Amino acid sequence: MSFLDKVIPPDLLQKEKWIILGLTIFFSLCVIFPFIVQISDSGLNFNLRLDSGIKVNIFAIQTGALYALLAIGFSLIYGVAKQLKLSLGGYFVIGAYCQFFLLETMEIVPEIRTDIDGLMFLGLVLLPILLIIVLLVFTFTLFSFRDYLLILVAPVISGGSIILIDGNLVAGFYVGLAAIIISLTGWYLELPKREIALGSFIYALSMPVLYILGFPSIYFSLMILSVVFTACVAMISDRYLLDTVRHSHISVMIVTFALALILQSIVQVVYFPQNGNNFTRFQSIDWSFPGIVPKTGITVIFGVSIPTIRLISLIFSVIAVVLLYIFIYYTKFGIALRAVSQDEEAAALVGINIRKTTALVSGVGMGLAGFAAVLTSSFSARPLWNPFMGWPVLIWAIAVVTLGGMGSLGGSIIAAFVIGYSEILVSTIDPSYSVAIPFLIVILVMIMKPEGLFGEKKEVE
Amino acid sequence: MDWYEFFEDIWDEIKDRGYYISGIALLIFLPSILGASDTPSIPILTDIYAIVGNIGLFGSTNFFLIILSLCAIWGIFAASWDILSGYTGQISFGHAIFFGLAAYVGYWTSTGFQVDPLLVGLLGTRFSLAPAVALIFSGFICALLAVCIGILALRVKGPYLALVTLVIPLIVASLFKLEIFYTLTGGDHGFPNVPDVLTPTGILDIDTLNFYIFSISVLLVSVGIMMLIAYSRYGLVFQSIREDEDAAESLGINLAFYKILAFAISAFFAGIAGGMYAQYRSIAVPSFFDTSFSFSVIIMAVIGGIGSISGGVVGAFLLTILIEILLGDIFPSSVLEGVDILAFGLLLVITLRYMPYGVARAKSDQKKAIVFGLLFALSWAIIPISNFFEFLSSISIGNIILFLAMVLITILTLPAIPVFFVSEIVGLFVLEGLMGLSLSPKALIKAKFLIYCIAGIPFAYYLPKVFKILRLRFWGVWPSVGRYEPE
Repeated sequence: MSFLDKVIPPDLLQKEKWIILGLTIFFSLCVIFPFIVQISDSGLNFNLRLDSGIKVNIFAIQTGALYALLAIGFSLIYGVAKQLKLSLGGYFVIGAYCQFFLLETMEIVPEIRTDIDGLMFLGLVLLPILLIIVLLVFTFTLFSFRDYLLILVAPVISGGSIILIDGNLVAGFYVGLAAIIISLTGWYLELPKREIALGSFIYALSMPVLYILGFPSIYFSLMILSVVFTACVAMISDRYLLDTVRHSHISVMIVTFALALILQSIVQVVYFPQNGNNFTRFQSIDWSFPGIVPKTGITVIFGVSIPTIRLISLIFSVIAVVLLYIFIYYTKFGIALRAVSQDEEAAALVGINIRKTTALVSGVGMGLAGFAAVLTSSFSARPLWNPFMGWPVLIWAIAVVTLGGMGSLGGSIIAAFVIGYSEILVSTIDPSYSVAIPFLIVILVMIMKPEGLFGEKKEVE
Repeated sequence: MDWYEFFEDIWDEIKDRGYYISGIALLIFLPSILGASDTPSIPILTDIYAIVGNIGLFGSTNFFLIILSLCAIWGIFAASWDILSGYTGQISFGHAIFFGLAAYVGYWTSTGFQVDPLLVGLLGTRFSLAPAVALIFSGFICALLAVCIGILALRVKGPYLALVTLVIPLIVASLFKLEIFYTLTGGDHGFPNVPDVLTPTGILDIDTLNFYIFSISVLLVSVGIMMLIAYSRYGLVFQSIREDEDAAESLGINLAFYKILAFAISAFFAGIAGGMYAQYRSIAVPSFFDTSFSFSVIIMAVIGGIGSISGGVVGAFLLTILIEILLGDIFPSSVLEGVDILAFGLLLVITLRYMPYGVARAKSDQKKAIVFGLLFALSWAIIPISNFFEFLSSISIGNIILFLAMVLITILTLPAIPVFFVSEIVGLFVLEGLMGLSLSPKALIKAKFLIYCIAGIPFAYYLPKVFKILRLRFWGVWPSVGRYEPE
């Protein structure tokens, strides 16, 4: 019986009914509480008010969804590869900075400069073009000729039309690059080839149309690029650093911690000191979900004004979780993941590539972390822009995963909402307790039930 | 038994512990070598330091002594982590909790509490301890806390324990920052002016030499106690718990008692280190609970060698000297932040890849490579600068020894001339050209030393192997006549 067979194991539901009862009571209290209780300078007021209730609830759900994104990646890696990767925060940083870097390179005026910075920049601008050519040649070896035609047409159509409409050369190349990256990712995930070709073709057609309709399709493709880049870094480092220590929990934790340190300080050392001056937008970024909504944008729902970033972040996290669900339960590679999580040796006997599966699962998990980074890149309170912004993220993810039960996806999601709700509710009462109280909940649950709310009782080797 | 066998045995013992003995001797005699005031000067060694020290590799004497005291503090801390995690296998990712708590307890006890009116007759109106006693007291408080955490830890095992201990210091730190405890904890900014052992009034200007002597002696005593524990029956029990809990329990070992005991011992020494660090920095702040403290101690212990108490001390000395003396000057934080963290991470990954048991338990050829690599680097950094004839102009024993050593090293490193030039050119190109640093002359020498270390350690590792191959190919088994060394 594996954690991935059902979202929450049914026998657990029958055995531990008090957990379900307690969670139901907790969530209903949490939902009702902000509707009834208001905090003002004089103290607590007890009135029925709709607006503050809706606002606090949406805030809490959004925070919970974000934590769910982070925790699912962490939990998935533990479930399949049996590794606890402390490098989550490092990939969070990489994802955020990659998105930002792509955004910045679009703004560069190609002027001729002879100093080293200028040359490096020119190289970085020319990189997508080179990558497109190399990847197209590589794709030729993978697909049949009819599919390859569709894949070849996709970057040309999407990139070319964006260049024609928008006039930004680099943006066009990025959109084209994203088209190829989509098809290559599909190939790596072993999806059916015809569907990959059709998918990239549909992407290519929809990008310019959506752009004309007002959807920020350039930023969307940048998001795809940065998530895939994060996943690639995760897979490569997994392959070359963790291969020898794969079976020791502690060594994996120490190596991945060192990896997080390296990633974080590479951003700090290489990116900031000299090159930071060239970035126009870096000091004051007014746009979040980079580029789509202004930081101060406000949407009015049911007469309540809510920051648009939070709404968009909520929507995209839900989309990501649903996509992950589809991937795990309805694709060929998802079946492989479930098989490996049940029994590694038996899966290898059936012919599943264990090494590729573990690499891929770390790619998916860390890609989710990168996605979360793109979504949150400039919230007011948490992750502010600095190379250390990964650590709080890691700590929250750990808290959520230990609360929900290691390796249980459904448990992680529920625990993410528990943590999100408790954090937001406490911070409406007194912000200085908003870190301590959720962690105290985690510790109390760990004392009563060391394997977490929905974890399986299993001996750790 | 012949009379000389006794001396042979002693000599074997000394040879086995050569690195330890020379290290301890170096630590004890270092102030004299450096020529600190109020110390008896040792003629030969002081002469050598006068020549080497002129180059400015280690900074001024006082600065070097301060850094070495810091090394000693980190050494105690790393060894205390090692006895819990390396020996007993209870991996703690939040050892900073004892570090931070001890800092606060040391402050509270040494500055004094207002005593409850009922006890006035017994203790006087204010109750305070001498800073040195406060250290031990805070160690005991930490051990008490560790017993509580240890009872918690009985429920969770392995990676879960690591995750839980990672979170606990953060909770404590956020509690310490709360406003309602302001009078007790000093809020965000903590307390300035923690009184230290030497200046009970809390003046910042501590006496470097005395603090060095104090910290080194505490290091030797506490690490000695920890090693005694580790090599005693208790250490054996700890190791058996690490290897297999179930098997240990089936042998009749009381798991709960020994796990909690390991926690308490470890926390006691971590508390002493934390108290000393607070005295060293003269502050007690909530940032002592940071994850960075927990992890830097893990990195030191891992680089030094998990599962050997001395490994943590070695790692602490290597890393602290590397970061505080070398990297601190080459990359000032105003120019380039985060280089020390990058060095931490890279060193950790490289160590785990090539020496999974750390420096202290590395293979003997790797150990020799490190020692000789450092010597090569030192001589390469010195030779281009020093004037050979200057040695001969004033003939003293120290000069002659140094001269002979340098001639020897020069002869040894003749095959390394290309390595020397390549590392010089590439290293300086990377530092000055690519990263755009403008180095001061002192920092340049440190940078060169660092680059030569990076080039010299692999060189010292591969030179004997290459030499062996060449020797076998061209001269048979010469020069080790009559001894055939199979691979």
